[in-house]
Amino acid sequence: MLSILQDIFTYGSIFTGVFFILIAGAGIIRLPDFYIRMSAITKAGTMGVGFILLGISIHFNDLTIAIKSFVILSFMLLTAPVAAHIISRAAYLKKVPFWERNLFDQLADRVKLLAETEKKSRNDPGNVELKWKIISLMASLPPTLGESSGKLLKQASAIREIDPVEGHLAFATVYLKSQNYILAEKEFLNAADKSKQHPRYLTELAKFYSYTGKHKESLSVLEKALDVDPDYIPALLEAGKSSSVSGMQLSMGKQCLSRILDSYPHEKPALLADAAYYQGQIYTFEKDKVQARRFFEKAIHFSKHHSKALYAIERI
Amino acid sequence: MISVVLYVSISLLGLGALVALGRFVMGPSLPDRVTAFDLFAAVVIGIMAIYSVITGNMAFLDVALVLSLIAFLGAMSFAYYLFKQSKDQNN
Repeated sequence: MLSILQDIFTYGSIFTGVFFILIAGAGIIRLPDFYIRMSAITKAGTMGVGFILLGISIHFNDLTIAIKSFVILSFMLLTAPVAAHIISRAAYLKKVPFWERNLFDQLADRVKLLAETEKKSRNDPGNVELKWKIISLMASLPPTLGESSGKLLKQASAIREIDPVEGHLAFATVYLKSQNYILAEKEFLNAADKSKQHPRYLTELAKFYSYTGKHKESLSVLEKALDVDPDYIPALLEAGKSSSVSGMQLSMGKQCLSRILDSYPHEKPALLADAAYYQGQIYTFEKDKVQARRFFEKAIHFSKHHSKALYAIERI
Repeated sequence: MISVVLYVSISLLGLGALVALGRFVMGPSLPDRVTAFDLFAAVVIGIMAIYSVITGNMAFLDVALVLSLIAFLGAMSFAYYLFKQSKDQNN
């Protein structure tokens, strides 16, 4: 009786495995482009081999065989996705064509946008904004597609020739992207000093501090910035964010955020949603669930898909 | 009974291997051939596993393990070669 059952399970899983491998075979011969074929064979092939190995370990009913097939299977589960990813990446870099009905290639769009911006910037060498755009585009690309710290530094020094203070900020941003925090802090401080404590540069310095986890410094810099210009919206928002993340100076953060929400109801909805979300976080710190929920709902009202607010409201 | 089922599965897997070989021959690009080889290796691992049931010889499982290792390394080295090639093209 037991052996019949064993046989049934063995045949069942071996046939299932063979079926999946045949599906992989159909996929590799019929599907239209390399990337889709790749996905077919990695999933179905691994699944098929897995079922066959399960079948033989049921058939032998022996610990050694079971361990061996488990080792083979776990090795395949580890290596198949890695190999698929690496080969697809190499194929993309080698420009293996997509299916002609493919709609999206966001990386190529971005590379194209970068090339266009570079061309515009060559025709208009005095435009700082274009150079900032190039820096942020380059920094968002993977190293194999044109981002290199040398090119970034070249853009930054071009900005410095036009406007020394912006140049310090540009260098700071580039250093921050390459995770050189010591040089980045120096450049941020330089920018703030040379601009005579202009709120924009103070806010960038504060953003850097809260990015590196120094919320106390960040908040004191923001206080300075708000002394100069109490209505500078990025500084107000950053103060709210920094205090809602760290839990320090909650009353100051609350004041700043309610200033944005009350005095500037016609700002961009995304910014207002963020402000309301941070306000909600501050109330969560103070364990005032009713107010927190009210502000999270406000954030969702401003921007329907504010994922952080949607998540936070679930957890209240 | 048991051997009939196993022989049928082996021949079906052989069909899968033929299909993989077809893609290997057709190409059209090198990554296509590398993935076809990957599938071929998976099919051969399956065939070895079933063959070890037919003969009752467990040693084939060790061979299957080594084969899966070699298939992974082969795919990796081809990917590395492709990276090098596309880098040379860009520069």
